[in-house]
Amino acid sequence: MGVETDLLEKVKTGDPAALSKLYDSYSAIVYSFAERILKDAVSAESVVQDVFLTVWRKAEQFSPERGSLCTWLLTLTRNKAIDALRSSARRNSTHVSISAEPDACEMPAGIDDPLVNVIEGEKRDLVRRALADIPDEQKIPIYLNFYNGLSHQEISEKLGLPLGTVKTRIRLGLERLRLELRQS
Amino acid sequence: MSKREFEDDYVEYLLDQLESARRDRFEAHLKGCAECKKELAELREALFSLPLTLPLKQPPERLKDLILKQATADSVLFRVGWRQRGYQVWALAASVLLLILGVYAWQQWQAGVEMDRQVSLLREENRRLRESNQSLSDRVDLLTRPDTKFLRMVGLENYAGTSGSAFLQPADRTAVAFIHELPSLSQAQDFQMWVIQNGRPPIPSEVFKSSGVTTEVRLSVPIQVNEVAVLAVTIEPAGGSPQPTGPMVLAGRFEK
Repeated sequence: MGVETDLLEKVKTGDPAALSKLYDSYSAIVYSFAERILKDAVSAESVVQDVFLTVWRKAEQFSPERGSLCTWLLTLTRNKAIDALRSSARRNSTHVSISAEPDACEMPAGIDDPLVNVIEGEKRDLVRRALADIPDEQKIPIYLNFYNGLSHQEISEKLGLPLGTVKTRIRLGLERLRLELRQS
Repeated sequence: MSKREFEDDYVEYLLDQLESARRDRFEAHLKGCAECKKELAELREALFSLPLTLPLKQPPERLKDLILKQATADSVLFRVGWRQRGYQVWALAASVLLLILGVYAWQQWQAGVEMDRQVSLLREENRRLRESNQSLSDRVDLLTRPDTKFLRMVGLENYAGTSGSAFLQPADRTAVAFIHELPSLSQAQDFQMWVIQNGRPPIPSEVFKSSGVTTEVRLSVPIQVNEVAVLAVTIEPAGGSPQPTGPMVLAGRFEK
């Protein structure tokens, strides 16, 4: 069992110290991801709160066979952030708006373990390298869906491409990313 | 139903793009297909590795206190005592695990010099990739800003198979165009973009070559966006021309 899942097991037992450690490890990536989608710090905070309270209340819903703990947390984050984005768009009747990226911060938060931090950092580098090998024509539709919540149809209209082409590019891009990560 | 029947559905399922009947069938299939579950888990891991490349930002300090207070209040209200019994066993197991990982980390540290060199190389590569990622995010940003103007470009005469779209940002007078299926050119030729105002001579813009099925062209617009009437692409001698001389490949008018 890894350090992460061990922490989650403790969370299941109702241990607030474990939740605190889990928060220290993942709050930065959860917050940065939510803010990337919502482009609003206050809404992103609300998503972070929602995600960690879901972990606290429903830790047993995590299933290792569906992916890592980090993936589960980011899936929760994306679902909640996209829901918030859509309801905010409905309220304001505006398109999704994105401002400039937040400033880069060199060191992420990490579990209090140097090895785990090294592994996380290596994974980040692997993903960056894998993405560099994927053509922009495949990355752009993936990003438009993943970060902006646009449907395939909306992306097709936005890019002036047939729907089938958009689907194919997204599929090829993700399969290539998976392959690159698997080979690394 | 076989795994093959659902192969095209994995990605759409992950991105929540499957229509409901198809999604229900896929989920029913997933329950009994370990291979599909594994495939889906791998794709999910790949997809959700994307946020790892974002610049990290810390949430405000007060948020952690708020969450922990709320969690503690939850415990008082809902959690039951029996869950606490497993705590000490797990704490001991975690301590042992952390000790083992600590020893391993110490050994890694001793291998230091070579690792430092590798880290420095990786940092440099990392910086380059982060810049590339930022550039891509900027382009996605441009596509989705509410004030972005959209233009569909259509292939002319002998270039009916060519098409494109352009997105123009009034605030910073930049545009990005995605052009599909450009014709082949000789070494002595380039494509050139033109910005055209009503009743004025075309203003020369980016000179570029085709870069595959879809060519992306980024340009700065030298006039106010609301004065732009048409964007057009012609074939010119290599290096471009001050005025259009070659055939027009595609063009489009901005929607006002």
